[in-house]
This record gives sequence, structure tokens and C-alpha cells, in this order.
Amino acid sequence: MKNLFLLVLLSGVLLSCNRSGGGDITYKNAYNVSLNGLNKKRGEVSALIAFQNNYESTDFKLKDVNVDILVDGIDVGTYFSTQPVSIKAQSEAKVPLSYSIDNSKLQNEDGSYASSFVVELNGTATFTNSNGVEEAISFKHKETIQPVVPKKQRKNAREEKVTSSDKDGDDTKLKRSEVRKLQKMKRRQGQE
Amino acid sequence: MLLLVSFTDDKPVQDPYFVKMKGFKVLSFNLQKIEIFSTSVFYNTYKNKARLQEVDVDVYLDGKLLGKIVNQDDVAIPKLSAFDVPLLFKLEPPGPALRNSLWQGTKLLTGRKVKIKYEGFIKLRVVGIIPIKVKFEDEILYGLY
Repeated sequence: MKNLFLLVLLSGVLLSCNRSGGGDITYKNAYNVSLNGLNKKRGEVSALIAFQNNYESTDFKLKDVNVDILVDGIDVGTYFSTQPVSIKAQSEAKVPLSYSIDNSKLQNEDGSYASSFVVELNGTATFTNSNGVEEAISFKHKETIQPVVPKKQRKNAREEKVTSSDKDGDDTKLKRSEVRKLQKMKRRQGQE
Repeated sequence: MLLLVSFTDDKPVQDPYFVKMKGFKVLSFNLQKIEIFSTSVFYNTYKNKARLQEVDVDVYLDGKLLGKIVNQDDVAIPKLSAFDVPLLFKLEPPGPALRNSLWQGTKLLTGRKVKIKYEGFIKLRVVGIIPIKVKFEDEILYGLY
């Protein structure tokens, strides 16, 4: 009886020593979700997916991550990576995601794009520690984003706006540079 | 010699591989046609772009061979990236395949799950022709989920 008690006690101690303590790895959020390169043939969806390691003293490494990417409900592809990202005990790690997409899937019939898109990231990340213990974390993220428009394209759009307003006969609106020129001319006339 | 060295440098440690299957849809299962759609995801381990050369995948329902997927879309495969290969199984008219899988069809139409298995390979044209094994088993329902 005494031996049995000792055995139970010993196994209890061993089990508690074996425990890494704390909890598990959890998905926190997805940051910087963006959609770039809509002016090109292929665009790019990028994001940072954050995980929290709640273990007291066990470090983990990312084994693999696969994420189904949906834009406005359309499956644009699956991101998969085996790049090792380490996540230390009681800290956060961000896994970068970057996936090239076919822009034609997002175009309207006239070739234009919507002003905003709903991006969904549904995936699973598998982490492993030095003992080979694996933890798989599923996550879902949904966010409405505005696509990143390059500077040059923004400038062109502005210029188009100005020229279209000129065409409408709206002469009262002058460009800043033209206003400055007029002011200079007036000053010169005044000096003379 | 230099060419040989550059070729061996490009060869990855691991060959391209099958990652997962997603988006199962049993579009129709009747006397006129059987249509089952899914998307398989693979990973290109090469530092080179590739193209899909061939698809040869057998489809089984509850262990019974339904037919073969050999159709292929022109899939552009980026380097060091995951890529989707759409797999459309289509039999029109289904004929003997439907007779053999009448029980599975009844199960599907009455809202019950049926075991589906994909087994075969796809071939990539990269630094040569690279076959990738496809083996996947799951349960499907009629419609989409």
C-alpha cells in the first residue's frame, strides 16, 4: 500500500515536471492586411498574422502555415509557407504573408475595380517545439480594406479630375501654380 | 561543368508536394451527369516558375472507382510558392459509373455523407517533368460546404 502511494506520488511529480506550464499558443490578430498592385497584371495580398505563446518556458517554431485567401468571397488562392518563425515563451510573433494574385479575378466587367474589398484569411498554423510536440492553430480573419493605389496613379487621377472640371466650363477653379503666377503679375504691375 | 553546377544549385532539397484539398462541391449527381469540383493545393519548391503538364487523378466514392480526372487548365506556377490546381470531375452521361455508384448517389441525394478519395498524380514542367503524388480522402455532401 505504501509502495503504491509512493508510486502515485512519484508519477504525479514526474508529470508536473514534464508540463511546460501555462497554456497554449493562440491566434491574436492579423495586422497590415493590404492589397497592392491593382494597376499591374498580378497584385499582391499581404498581411502579418500574430500569435501569442502562452507557455511559461517553452519556445516554439513555426513548422508550416497555410491560409486560404478570399477577396469579396472569391477564392484567389492559398498561401503556404514553411519558413521557420520562432515564437519565444510568453511572447508574440508575427508571421508574414505575401501572396501574388491574378487581378482579373477581381475586375468588374468593364475592367474597373471596386473601391474597397473584403479580404478573408482562413488558415492553420502548425508550431513545433524542441521535443517535437506540435500545436496546430486555426484562425479566421475578415477585414474590409481599400486597395493601395500607387502615387503615380493617384496623381493621374487628380489631373484627370482637374481636366474634367475644366471641360465642364468650371473656370473659377484655378490651379495653385496659376494663382501664384497671377499674384506675381499683379505685384509687378503694381511696382511699375 | 559550370552548367551542371548551376543545375544542381537550382534543385531544391525537397520535390514539389501536395498540401491539401479544398472547396469540394458536388455540382450534380443524376442520370444526365455527374459533376464534382474541388481545388488541390501544391507547393512549388523550385526557384523557377513552372507550368502544369498533366493531371491524372482517379476518383473513388466509398471505395468504388467513379472515373478519372484528366482535364487541365493552364496553370501558371510561381517559384517557391503554393499554387491551386482546379480538379473538375465530369461524366456526361454517367452510364456504367452511375450504375456502379447508385447507392452512393442515393446517399448523396438524401443528404448523407459519402467518402471520396482522390489518388493519382499531376506533372509539372519545371527543370524537367516532375510528378507529384496526390492522395486524399474525405467525406462529402451534396451541394457545397
